[in-house]
Amino acid sequence: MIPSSFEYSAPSTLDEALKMLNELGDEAKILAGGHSLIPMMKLRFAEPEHLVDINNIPGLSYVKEEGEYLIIGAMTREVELEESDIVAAKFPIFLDAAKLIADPQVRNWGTIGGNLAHGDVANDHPAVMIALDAEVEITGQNESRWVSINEFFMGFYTTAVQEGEILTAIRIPNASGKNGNSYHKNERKVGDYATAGVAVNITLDDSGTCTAVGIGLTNVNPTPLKAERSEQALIGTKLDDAAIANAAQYASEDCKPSDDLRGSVDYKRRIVKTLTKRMIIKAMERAN
Amino acid sequence: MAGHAGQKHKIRVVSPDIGGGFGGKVPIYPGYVIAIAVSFLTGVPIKWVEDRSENLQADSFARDYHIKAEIAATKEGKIQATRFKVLADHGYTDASANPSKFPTGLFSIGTGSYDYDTAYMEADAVYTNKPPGGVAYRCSFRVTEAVHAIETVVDTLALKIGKDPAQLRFENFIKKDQFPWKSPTGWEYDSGDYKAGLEKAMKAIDYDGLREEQVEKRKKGELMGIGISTFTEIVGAGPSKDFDILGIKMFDSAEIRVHPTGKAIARFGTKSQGQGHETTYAQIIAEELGIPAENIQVEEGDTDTAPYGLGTYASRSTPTAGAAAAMAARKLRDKAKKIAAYLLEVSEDDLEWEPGKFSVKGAPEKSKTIQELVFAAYTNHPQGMEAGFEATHYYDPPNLTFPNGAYICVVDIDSDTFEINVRRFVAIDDCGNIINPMIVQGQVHGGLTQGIAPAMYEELLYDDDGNILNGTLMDYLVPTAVESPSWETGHTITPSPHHPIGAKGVGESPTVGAPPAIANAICDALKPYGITHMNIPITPFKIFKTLQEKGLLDTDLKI
Amino acid sequence: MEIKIKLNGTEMTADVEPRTLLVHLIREKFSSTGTHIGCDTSSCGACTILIDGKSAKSCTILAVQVNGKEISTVEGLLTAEGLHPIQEGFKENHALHCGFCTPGMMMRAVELLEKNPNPSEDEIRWGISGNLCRCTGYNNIVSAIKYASAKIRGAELPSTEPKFV
Repeated sequence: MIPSSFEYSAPSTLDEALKMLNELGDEAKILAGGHSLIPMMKLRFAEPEHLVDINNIPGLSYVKEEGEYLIIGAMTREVELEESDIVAAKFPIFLDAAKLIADPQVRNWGTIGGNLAHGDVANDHPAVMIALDAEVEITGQNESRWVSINEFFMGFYTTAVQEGEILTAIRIPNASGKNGNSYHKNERKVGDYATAGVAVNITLDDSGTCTAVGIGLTNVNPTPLKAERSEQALIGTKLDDAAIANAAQYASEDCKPSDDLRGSVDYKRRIVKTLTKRMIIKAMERAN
Repeated sequence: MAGHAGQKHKIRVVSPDIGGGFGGKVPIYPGYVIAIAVSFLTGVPIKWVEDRSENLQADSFARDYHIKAEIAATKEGKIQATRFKVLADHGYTDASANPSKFPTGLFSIGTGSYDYDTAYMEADAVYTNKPPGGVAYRCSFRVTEAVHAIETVVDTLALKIGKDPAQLRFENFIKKDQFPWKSPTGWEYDSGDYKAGLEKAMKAIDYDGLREEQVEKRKKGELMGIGISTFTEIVGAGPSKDFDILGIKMFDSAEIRVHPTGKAIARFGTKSQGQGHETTYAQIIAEELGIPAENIQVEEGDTDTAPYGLGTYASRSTPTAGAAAAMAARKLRDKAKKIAAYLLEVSEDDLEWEPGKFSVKGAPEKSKTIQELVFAAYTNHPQGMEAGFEATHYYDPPNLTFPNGAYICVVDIDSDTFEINVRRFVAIDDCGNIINPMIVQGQVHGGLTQGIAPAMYEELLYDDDGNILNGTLMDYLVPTAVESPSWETGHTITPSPHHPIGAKGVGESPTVGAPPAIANAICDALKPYGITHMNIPITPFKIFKTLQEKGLLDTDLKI
Repeated sequence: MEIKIKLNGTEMTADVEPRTLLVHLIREKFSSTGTHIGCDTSSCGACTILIDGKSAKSCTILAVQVNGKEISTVEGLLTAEGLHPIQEGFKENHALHCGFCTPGMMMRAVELLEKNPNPSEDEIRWGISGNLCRCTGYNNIVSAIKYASAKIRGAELPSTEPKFV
C-alpha cells in the first residue's frame, strides 16, 4: 500500500514551517512521528497535497521542569518519556501509558504532540493530559497561546490547533501536597487501541483528604472525556470505599461509548467502572 | 497454461524459500492465474504481490464449522455414543486440496481417544459469498474441528455429571493393549498410550495441587480454570486405497544420489515452508546409510528435478516423504551390501551392518565403510551390476499415523473485566519415534500459539452485507509474545508399528489439541456461573455478553 | 527528491518520490530484500530496521524522512568476524522456522539488548511485542535473545538443548 502523491517539505526552523503552513492553508498536513498519519495515507483515508515535516526543527523535543510546571516539547518521542528520570519520579502515569501504546518501534517515532494533535479519541495521551490538567502551547505565525486541555479537543479528529498553527509544547502543573497518578487501558491484545482507558491524578493533603483530582477517559466518548462528576465525588473525601464506588459509577454513566468490535456499550461502561476504581486506588497508593 | 495445451513438461515451477504455509498456500488463487495470463499477453515477466488486507479479505479461510455435538453416557460417565451435526461454510468455492473420497475430510476422526462403538457424523456444506473456504488450516482435513467437538463435549459431560475431567478421560480411554484399534467410523488407530500421556501431563503441571488451589480461589470468588485435551490426530495421508486427489494417489517420494565422494543429494516431492525438512530428511538418511547428515544436501521445490510428489501439508511430510527417504536409503544399503560382499569376497549372508559400514561376521577387522562402497559403485562394482549409487522410492503408506497428546492449561480470569490470562500450558505429545527433538519441539511451540489464536483471538468478522470488518492485522488479532505463555512441552514415545522408522507426523497436533484445552479451562473457570460450554474464540467481551444474557453479571460467586 | 543515506555503513543516494516508503527504498532501489513487508499497517514488525540505532517500522516511514541518516538492516549484521551474537542466538536456539519475521525480529532485538543488556523474560516478551511470528510460538526467540545477551555480556552461554517436562 502506497500513499497518493504529495509534495514534501522539511523546514529547519519553526518560523519557516509556520510560513509554509500559512501559505499552503488546508492543502498541508504536519508530519510529526507519522505513525497515525502515514497509515491513514496508505489506506487513502487521508490524501494531503503537501506534507510539512517538522522532524528537522531543533528545540521541539525536551522534558524539563520549569517553575511550577513539567514542560514537554511537542516532538518528544514516547520513548523519551519512558526513559526520563523526571517522569519516572513524579509522573509514573506516563510509564503506565507508554507501555501500552502500540509497540517499542512505534514509540521510538511517535511523538507526544502528535498523539494529542491527531485528535483521535482512541489515543492515550488525551486522557492522561486531562487527568493532569495540562495546557497545550499552540504557536502561530504571530503569537503563541496556552490552551487548557479541556478546551483542546473539539470533535472528531479536530482540535484547537487552527490552520497555520503548530502544537509546540505541553505543560503540566506540579501538584502541591502528596500526589499520585496512574493510567490503565483494557485492550484486546498488546498494542491495540483501548477498549476503554482511565487516567487518574490525585492530590492529598497531610490528613489524607483529596484536595485535587483529575480523571480522563480514553475511547469511550466522541471526544476524550473529563469525568467531572467522578472528580467531584472524590474532592474533599478521604477516598473511602463509598467515594471511590461513586466516582467509578459516575464515570461509567457519564461516558458515551459506542458499540464496535471491542465491545458493547454496556461492556465498555463496565470496564470504565472497574478501571476507574482501580486507578483511583493505584494513584492513592502512589500518593502515599 | 501450457498444461492445458498438453505441454505440461515444458512448465518449470521453482519454489525458493517461502514464508510459512499452514494450509493457506494450498489453494490456487485467481492472482496466480491472472499473473500468468497477463505475462503471456504482454510477453514480459509479471509479479503478483498481495498485501495483507487483500490476504485477509480474499484468501481462503478455514474452520467455519458450526457444530452441534451430543454425547450419551451412563450416569457414571462411561461414554456410549456421540452425534455431531455440522453446518460448514465453504465460501464461494471449496479451496481445499481434500482427498477426493472424503467430502468433509477426516472429520470422522471425531470419536477421539475414547473407547465406545456408536457414533454418527453429518455435515452439510454450504456455499456463501465469502472467499474460498474449507482450507484445513494447520490441520489434516478437518481434524481440528472434530477434535474440538469431542474434547469439549467430553468436558461438558464431566461438568454436568460433576466428575473430574481427567478421571472421566481415564475411565474412557482406549487402552494401550487395544491397539491397533478399529474406530466406530472405520479408521484403524495404529498405536497409542493415552493414559501415560495424561499422567505425565498431570504430574508436570501438578494437577492435584492446582485443583486444591482452585477450591481456595473459588471460596474467594476468584475465577481460575484448568482445562484438559487428550486428542488423537490422524495424519500422513495417505494409503492409496483411501486417498487420492482428483485421482492421483497420495504417495510421496524421495530420490537419493550419493556421489563418488560419499556426499549425497536427496530430492523430495514435498516442500519445506520452515518445518526443517533439510535437517529431518538428512538425519533419516544419515541414520539409515551412515553418511553424516552434514554431507547430505536436501533439495525440494523444483519441478524439473524433484521426484513427483503431492507436497507438504496435513502433517504428511515425515510420515510419507520421510518414510520414502528411509526406504530409498534401504535400497542403497542393499546395493552397498552386494558391493561389500564382492569386495570382501564373502556371501551377503556373512555380512553385518552397523551404521556406516559392513563387516564380516566374526571378523570385524574385515570391513568396508559406506564411503568405500559408494566409491566402488562408480569404480569397482561387480560385473553385471549397474554403476552408480542412487535410488528412488515412492512410498504408499499402509495406514495413516495417529499422533496424540495430552494438554493441560491453567487460566485465570479477571472477575470484573473478564480478561483471560493463560497462566501455564503443558503439552505432552506422542508422535512416535522422534527424529529431531529440537524441530519437533519447535513445531509444537508454534502450533500451540496457533492454537491459542482461534481459541481466544482470531476470527474473520463480516457485516450483514458480507463486508469484512477486521481486514487488517490491527483488528485481526494475531497473538504476540505477550499473549503467548511460555510453553512447557514434553513427550511420550509410542512408535507407529507400520511406519519404516516408527515416526508419526506432529506439525498439526498442537493446533488441533490446544483450542479445546483452552476452551475447557475457560469454561472450568466459569463453572460457578453454571457455564458448561462456550464457542471459540472466547474473548473477555464474549464472556461478558454470555453472563449478561443469562442475567448472571455480578452474582455472588463465592462457593 | 534526491536523498542520501548510509545503508549498513555505505553511502547511498537515490532519487525518490516523496510518497516512497522507506521499506520500498531499501528493498527495491537498494535490493536489500532481507527487510520484509508483512502487514502494511505497522502491526507485524517484519520491516523493522534501525535508524540511527533506533528500531523502526520502515513501512510507516517515508524514504525522504531519513535523508542524511544511518540505516541498518539485517544484511549489516554479518561481519568479517562472523555471525552477530543475535544471529548466532537465533541459529543455535532454533528460533526461526520459515524465517519471514526473523530479520525484523533480530533488528528489534539488537536495539533491545543495546538498551537493556540483561533483560528478563518478561522484558523480552514486551520488547518484541511489535513483532509477530507465526511459526515459533516465541519460546525459542526468547531463548535466542537471552543467548545473545549472554554472548554480548561475555557471560556463560545458556544451554541450547531443548528442555522437556
